[in-house]
Amino acid sequence: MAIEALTQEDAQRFARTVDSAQAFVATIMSPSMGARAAQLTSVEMVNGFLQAYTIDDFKSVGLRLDIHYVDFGFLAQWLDEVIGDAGLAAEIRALHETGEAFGLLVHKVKEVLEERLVHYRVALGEEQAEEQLAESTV
Amino acid sequence: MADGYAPRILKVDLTTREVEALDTEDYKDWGGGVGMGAKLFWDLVEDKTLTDAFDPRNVVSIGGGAFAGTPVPSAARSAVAGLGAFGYPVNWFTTSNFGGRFSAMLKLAGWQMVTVVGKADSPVWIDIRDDKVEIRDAAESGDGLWGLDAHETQKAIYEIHGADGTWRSTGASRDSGRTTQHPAVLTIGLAGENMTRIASLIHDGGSGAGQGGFGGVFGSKNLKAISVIGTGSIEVADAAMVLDARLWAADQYGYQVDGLKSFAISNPCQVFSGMPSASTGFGSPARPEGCMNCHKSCHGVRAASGLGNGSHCYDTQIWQVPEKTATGAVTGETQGRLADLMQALSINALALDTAGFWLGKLNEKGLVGTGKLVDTDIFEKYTFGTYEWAEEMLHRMAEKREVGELLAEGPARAAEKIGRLEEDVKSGDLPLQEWGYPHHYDGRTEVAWGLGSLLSSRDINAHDFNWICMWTVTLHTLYGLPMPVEAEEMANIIAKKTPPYNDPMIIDMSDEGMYSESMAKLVSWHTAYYMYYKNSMGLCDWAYADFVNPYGENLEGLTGIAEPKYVEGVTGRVEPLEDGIKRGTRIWNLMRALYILEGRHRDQEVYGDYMYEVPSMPVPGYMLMSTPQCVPVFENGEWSYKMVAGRMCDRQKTEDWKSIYYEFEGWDPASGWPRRSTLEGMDMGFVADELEAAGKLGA
Repeated sequence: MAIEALTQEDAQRFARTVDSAQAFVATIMSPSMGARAAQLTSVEMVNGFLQAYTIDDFKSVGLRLDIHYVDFGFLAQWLDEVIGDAGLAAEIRALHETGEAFGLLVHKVKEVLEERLVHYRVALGEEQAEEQLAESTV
Repeated sequence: MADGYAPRILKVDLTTREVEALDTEDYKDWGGGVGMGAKLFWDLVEDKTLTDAFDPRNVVSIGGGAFAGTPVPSAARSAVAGLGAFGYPVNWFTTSNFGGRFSAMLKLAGWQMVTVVGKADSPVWIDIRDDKVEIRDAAESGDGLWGLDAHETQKAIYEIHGADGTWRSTGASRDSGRTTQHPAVLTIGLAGENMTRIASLIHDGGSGAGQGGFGGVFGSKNLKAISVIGTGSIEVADAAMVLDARLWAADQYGYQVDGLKSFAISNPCQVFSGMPSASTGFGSPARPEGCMNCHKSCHGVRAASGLGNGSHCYDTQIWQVPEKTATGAVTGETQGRLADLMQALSINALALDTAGFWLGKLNEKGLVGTGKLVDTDIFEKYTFGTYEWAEEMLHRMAEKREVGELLAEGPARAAEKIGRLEEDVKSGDLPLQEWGYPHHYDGRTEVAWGLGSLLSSRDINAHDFNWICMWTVTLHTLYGLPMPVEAEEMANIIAKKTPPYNDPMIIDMSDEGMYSESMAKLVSWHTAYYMYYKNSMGLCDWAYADFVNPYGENLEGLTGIAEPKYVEGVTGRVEPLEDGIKRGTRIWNLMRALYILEGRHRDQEVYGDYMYEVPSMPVPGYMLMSTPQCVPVFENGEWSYKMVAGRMCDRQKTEDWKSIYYEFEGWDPASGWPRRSTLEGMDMGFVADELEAAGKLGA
């Protein structure tokens, strides 16, 4: 990924947990439940939310299928405007603009997110990364 | 001639503790289930302005249709009909239903329906053993059922019956008088006993009538359970024809282990042709289990006990979002244990979901906590999203304890009580789409679901068009796969299968199509179909209607061909689908008349404000229900599939559409009330007379 290296200060900001008013809103949809909104408050949480399912997973799941859906255009906007990580936002936006289907893009988006989370960890240092990124998932 | 119906309807008066047998013959025109339940309500409730479900005069009927207990595939549904305690602003006449064995066992005992009137002066349960009916003491002084949870109650009744899987005699009958079966028990847990409005009725492992609030109605009648064991048989008009129809349906349209056919992704949404559902979610082992005579078996039995065995619907999924956002994971352990607990306490899963979502929003605003607007310590003592939070909330609601006392009234009444209803529904923080029911499927995008619910008395929960028009299309779109059928072909197939309209434009869910006369046809046809074939005759919502099927010739499903075969084989009646739709329309008009006598006017038929004011798409700063729904649209002279996320309902256009719909149904557009000519045309002059006497006949 061609995202710029991070300062520790930037990493602290990008890896933070925002309050609920600034949360990114995603959706879990399933046949029986309909759709339910999920409030995601950090980059780590967005990554954890996304499922890298394959088509075969859906064939075997039966009626309890669920989709963890994120609009990647909105995600890029949120990363830009709320989180402030313009580099990550640009990467996600570029993927979104390919027009590829969600189920194909989700694997690529997760790869980008996971790589960026590594950047955060490196910039933060091991101890702080553990503390900050752990916080953001709870 | 034998026609699949049991000969009698059991009327139980809990006030006088007397039982009476009504003649099923008088009610056969209504199909069974909801249709018979509506007519029984009409006949037995003198004051039809009654809108308090807890009033002893409320009459609740339970049972299935002509298909129940026969080899008709996926036809084991039992309906519940009466005033439901959950409805808002009043307790409209409403319906609910559940799977399992109850309606079939009732018929094997010789009863088509059971109708409960009055209120017992102390806890009782009804013990039906073929033609013997006993109202028994459920209190500690008697059989000690009161206070037990729904699982314990069933087990206790099995023990009272001495049911241990071996042959037992229940007396002489036309057949053997012997059975190895457990009785079929419909019961309530603590939430029902305490008359909460969010209580469900529970049967077997995982079957339940969740929506409607009928668990609280049982509680209000001091009725703990209805148990039935039958050793007779169900006589049909032409047994060979019924068997042929089943084999034809299963062989031609059901899943085939050898030569499996599937849509590219949406096997779970292939309603009739889907595989048995063994899974509990990704990675958790289970085996299929089904309702009586189902060819498909969509319930699942897990490898471990205590994890929602038999549960398969949203009770197994309802806590996904809170758990995922709180802990970063969704676990089978939490979801399964909660499903079991909701069943044990008899709480509708949507009540937990809505309570969590709404309280979470109020908590963020600082309105929840000790001494605050919502006075509770639950967020202080437990972490929201965890099993422990949900477990505690379920117990508080069932026991009407602390914040549970407020939430046991259902979300609309709870919000009204603390002065938040208008504001929170408008913002979508409390997404109550219609009649106080929590948002389920989104009427902004999936139009027919929303409009059908708006005209009814609850979230319709009827997936007929949802499976093929939304789920199949959405899944294939999201995963970039070729569609099983293109939009124009789908429109033509569905047109062929929806007589008498046969209009391809009915599935046009474009911005224009959603307010069209064709949409009025769709809502009318859909309502009639599920009212008759499903809610009354007993077909399952997770198997019908089957419009597009990978095994069918030209991908056409069995709907339109199968239903008349089943009706003829079971009842002996030659009844094309078009005539079945007429029967459904008649049931719908009877229910409409009940709503009207309860005070319904077109002015009340409006969505929660968020439906008109908040787009159905997630945007930062908004917390709302959203979904990437893709549906068929006809735009610029062409059919296509289109993602319609982000859409809102237009208030004026919705009102204009209502006028089109009312006129289409033969109702007065000014009021939404049926006209005499409409009712008399359906041989319901008696309904017109009563509406006229009440000054509520359409002009």
